[in-house]
Amino acid sequence: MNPKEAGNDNDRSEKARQLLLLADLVDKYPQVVSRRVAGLVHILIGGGISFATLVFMSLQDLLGPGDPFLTALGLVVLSLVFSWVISVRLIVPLTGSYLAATSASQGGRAVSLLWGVLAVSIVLSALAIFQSGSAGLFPPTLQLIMGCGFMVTYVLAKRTGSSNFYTVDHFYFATAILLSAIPTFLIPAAAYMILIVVDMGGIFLIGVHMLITAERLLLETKGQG
Amino acid sequence: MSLDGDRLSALIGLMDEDSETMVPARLSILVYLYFTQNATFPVLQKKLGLTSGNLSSHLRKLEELGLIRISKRFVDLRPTTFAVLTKEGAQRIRSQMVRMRELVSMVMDGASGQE
Repeated sequence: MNPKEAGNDNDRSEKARQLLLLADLVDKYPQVVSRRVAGLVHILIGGGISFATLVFMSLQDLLGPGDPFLTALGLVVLSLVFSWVISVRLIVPLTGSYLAATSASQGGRAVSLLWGVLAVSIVLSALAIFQSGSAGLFPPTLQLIMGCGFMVTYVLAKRTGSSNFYTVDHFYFATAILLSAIPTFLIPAAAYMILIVVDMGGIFLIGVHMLITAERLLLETKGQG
Repeated sequence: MSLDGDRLSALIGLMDEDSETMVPARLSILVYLYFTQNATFPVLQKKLGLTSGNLSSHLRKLEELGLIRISKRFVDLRPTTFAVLTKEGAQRIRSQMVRMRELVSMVMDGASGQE
């Protein structure tokens, strides 16, 4: 092979590598978008529920304490409705172009199913706890259910290979929620405050982390095909 | 790097199959819009180094194919053309690039195996 042919071959190899890199970027971009969107959803849910809780508690102070079961149920329903409106109605439609590649995965369906079951179990356990007259048990129970939910979500994501989306910070968050069940049980007076700080603060921090690290998925691309 | 017959014909087959978008200028417009979702005419012209006549003919063709949407809006009191990638456009470019990657990596693996 003469030097000119060798030069042409190198040139073609370089162009092929650039094409592979571009194809990798195009392939991975939906993951970046979904991570950005998930970050935004986490921030809005964390911030929104905290704000709504503040308004709810202030109203409760003004109107006087009501039935503790109705208070807890109001908080849970408010949080679920708020999360659903933000994620399904407002944010997800914005990413319509990229969803086909990311939403149909087995892992995604399993996670949705898991959180559906957990939402039902939160409402049922709230009913059982408040009807038995031991309202103090609700915050630690809620923390245990939420902690298990995040832990199983992380494990499912690892098994289905979508660990780019649910990163190790979800594991730390799940651990923090599970551990916070202890002080919510031991200090009932501060239970709801601990719950809001740990859960909403954690969701907010995870959202910020997801937004900041979304682009890192592209940096991991090496154009290997 | 040398190409063997089967892989070369697979690559050519891919280009023939989708000859309307497998034009370098159209492919680069679609890839650019894939990452930005939308862009104005002057931005596309500057980033891709195309003449205005060339760019508008490619944009018209991509709009006919339903891969982009073109709209005109006033920005700072001047009419500006916007190109927006459609859902079909995003899916088409992604599937094309993934197939192209498979073929090119097969070619590169084959070439390194022959060396």
